[in-house]
Amino acid sequence: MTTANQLHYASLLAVSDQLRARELSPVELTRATLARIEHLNPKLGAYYTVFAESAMAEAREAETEIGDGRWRGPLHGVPIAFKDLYSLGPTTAGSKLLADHVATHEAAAVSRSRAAGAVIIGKLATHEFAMAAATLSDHFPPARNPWDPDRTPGGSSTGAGVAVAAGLAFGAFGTDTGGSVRLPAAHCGVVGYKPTYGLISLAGVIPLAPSLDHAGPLARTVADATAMFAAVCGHDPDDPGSSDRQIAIGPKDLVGGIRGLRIGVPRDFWEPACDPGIRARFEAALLRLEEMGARVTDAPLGLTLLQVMAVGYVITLFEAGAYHLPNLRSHPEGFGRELGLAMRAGLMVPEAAYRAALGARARIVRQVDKLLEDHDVLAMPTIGVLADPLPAGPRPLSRRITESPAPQYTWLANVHGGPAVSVPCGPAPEGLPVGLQLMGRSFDDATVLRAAQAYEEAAGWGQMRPKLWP
Amino acid sequence: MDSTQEDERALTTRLAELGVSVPQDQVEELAAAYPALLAWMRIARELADQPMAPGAET
Repeated sequence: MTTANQLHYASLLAVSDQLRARELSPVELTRATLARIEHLNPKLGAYYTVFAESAMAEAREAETEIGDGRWRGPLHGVPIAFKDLYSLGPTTAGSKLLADHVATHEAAAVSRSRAAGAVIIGKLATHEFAMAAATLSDHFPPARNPWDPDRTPGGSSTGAGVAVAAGLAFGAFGTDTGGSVRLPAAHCGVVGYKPTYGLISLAGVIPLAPSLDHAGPLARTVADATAMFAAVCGHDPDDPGSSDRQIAIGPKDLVGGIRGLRIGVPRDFWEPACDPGIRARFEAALLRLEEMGARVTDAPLGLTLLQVMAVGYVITLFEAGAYHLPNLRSHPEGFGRELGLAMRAGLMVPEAAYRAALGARARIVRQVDKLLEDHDVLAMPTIGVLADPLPAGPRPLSRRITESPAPQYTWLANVHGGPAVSVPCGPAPEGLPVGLQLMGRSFDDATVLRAAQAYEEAAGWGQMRPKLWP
Repeated sequence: MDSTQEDERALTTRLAELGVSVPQDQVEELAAAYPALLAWMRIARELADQPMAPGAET
């Protein structure tokens, strides 16, 4: 038997193989994970809630089933966690409004993970309602970046990034409206995968902006993220955004390399706002992709970052403002300052402006689709700045609503709806992780994942671990 | 009345119509961000109205 307390940085699939072979006990693995959480969570703030008792019961059940030869799949007996937007026990969305809320139903993705045999170990920190940036004065203490605890781990799936990067879970499910899976993945040095819109059910997940919201996994490897996706994907009539068209992705889809793959680089979109250290890491990643046989070419998108973010934010603010209107009327004191102001700003977006933004979105979709006729994937950094220091208090609204927004290149895939993956591409000179983002055609998630997996394997940056938490 | 004061008044009036209050100490902050919000809406509208470049239609 392998010693479970040495495996906290192992990949989900590596421990899964050992569990299946009965070389490792799910009970010991869960116990070791709980012990690490107990030790590190006070310093890193990844978890709001830890389900120690039920997780141990699930682990015992997994041990019995696997022992009886009833292996359910790669998640069976593996401790994973969910962002606190997924309905499951205490579900707060990081908000004082829901501080005492206990969900009466489980989110579909939770139930599907459970059916796949996962050990559900806890609920993870989030920006308030997946939007307002976490601060040191929040109702819930902020999650901290494992590479530098004075900095943000990126959001809004803050705890998911931290838990995976610090060895406090073997995978985590986040949500992504403008980048909230991929941004913490980039800042924490792990993999974040936003599938094509509608492939993972959002039933039972507290929304931010339903037409842009996605569920997605954060993991230590692309193969882990793929396995997590495969365990929970599928049409769900309870989710109005769930796609009738579904895809199946398995390990065989990740092999084959990228020789001849056409990778387009939309420099006009991302380059003007990018930090030089991040650009250098990204250029090195492109060289590696070329060495691996990919055909890397410039591919002008014809859209600026500001155009894409403006369209994404107008849609988000309008939809989120409408969702929060009843509570803004009845319990305004329950909102943090930044979120409360952002939602009021959302109420200032007239319906005509929202409809215009939807029209602009359709145009962006056409332009990206056009680019993807001649390219198999598009490559860009995930975000053009390094993780910020955690602010002492709420940031002014003009930091978010601005004509010079923080360069989050993730918005393009949310507005487009196609798949996107952030994979580590090495540290910036400051020692903080940088993410390479690959995005592709809707429902062609397999190509994006295959390219990300090939790069990950060749570059080896996924083996980087934060030294503070050995 | 300058444009900032006009924005503050328009914002509080619109929100009051929706039954939403704004703490007095936050009105200025909301108004400070309002021009950028208007710019975002203008950018989106212009993009929606802009014809696709020749050959760019799929």
